[in-house]
Amino acid sequence: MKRKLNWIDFSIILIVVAVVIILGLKVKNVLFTKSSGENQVINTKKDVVLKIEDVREYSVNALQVGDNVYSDDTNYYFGKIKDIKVEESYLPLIKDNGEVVLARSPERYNVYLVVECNVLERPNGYFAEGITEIKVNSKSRYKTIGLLFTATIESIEE
Amino acid sequence: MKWFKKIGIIDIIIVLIIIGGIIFLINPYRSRVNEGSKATPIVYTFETLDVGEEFINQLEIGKDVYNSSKNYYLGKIKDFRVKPYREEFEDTEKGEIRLVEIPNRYCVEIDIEANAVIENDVIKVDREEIRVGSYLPIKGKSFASYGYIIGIER
Repeated sequence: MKRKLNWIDFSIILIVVAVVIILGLKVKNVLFTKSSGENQVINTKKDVVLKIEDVREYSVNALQVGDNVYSDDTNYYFGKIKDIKVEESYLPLIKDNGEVVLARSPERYNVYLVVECNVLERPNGYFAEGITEIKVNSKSRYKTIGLLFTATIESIEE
Repeated sequence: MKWFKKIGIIDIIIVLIIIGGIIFLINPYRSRVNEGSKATPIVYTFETLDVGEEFINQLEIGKDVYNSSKNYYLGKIKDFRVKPYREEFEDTEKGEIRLVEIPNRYCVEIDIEANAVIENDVIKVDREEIRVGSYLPIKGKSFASYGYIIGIER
């Protein structure tokens, strides 16, 4: 009385296998954070500088040194804010005569967050907590307890 | 009845998962969840996008506010302030950017008081995560708008 598997059953099996593989890879990444040497994996603390561009004062006020930062896409822990630097925001503007000037963006600021991360270094890149990829110039959404923001990774420092 | 016999255990599991998912998504009783001992009173400020006078006339202190797309309870209006709506204007002659007021358009800062559960670096009112910079659609009994959370007092 064995019934033949239909296409729905095949799809389910494929989805389950895919989920297991993805979870397996994530777990593998996390486990690798504890290893070193033979897997060419180094786990160190590094300062990652995030640049939040052209935001209003209320965003600046919502940030505090010591806040934990999470990736908004994955909800995984990214690091802890170690330092905050704020500067006035300027945007390029083409004048009528063709000259390009940097004009003050009114009531807006650029914020540099120094975030202390546990970084897993692997041959293919850097990963915060072994999970969230850290690549200079990549833009992503992050969150703290008080602020949701988009930031570009400016640099990775020792 | 031949088709009925062909339904296997896997098909039944899928149907159950789908039904479970739908119930989880639309269950109205999950609204206004635990305001128990862990609840902390907070006041946060929501700033609307540009609105007209007709919107302002509908605002009243004490009115309930909800997320208009998810129907989560967001709190009660504690206070509100009306400010002129300003847009950035690029003066390409002088080479500067200015904020100019748009006549008859306003942005309203609404202070909302609510009981929040604060845990694991998340401030939650009902099921809504409250963070500065969050874009929310809000509604009350007779008004609706979009806007951003711009401040949290706790």
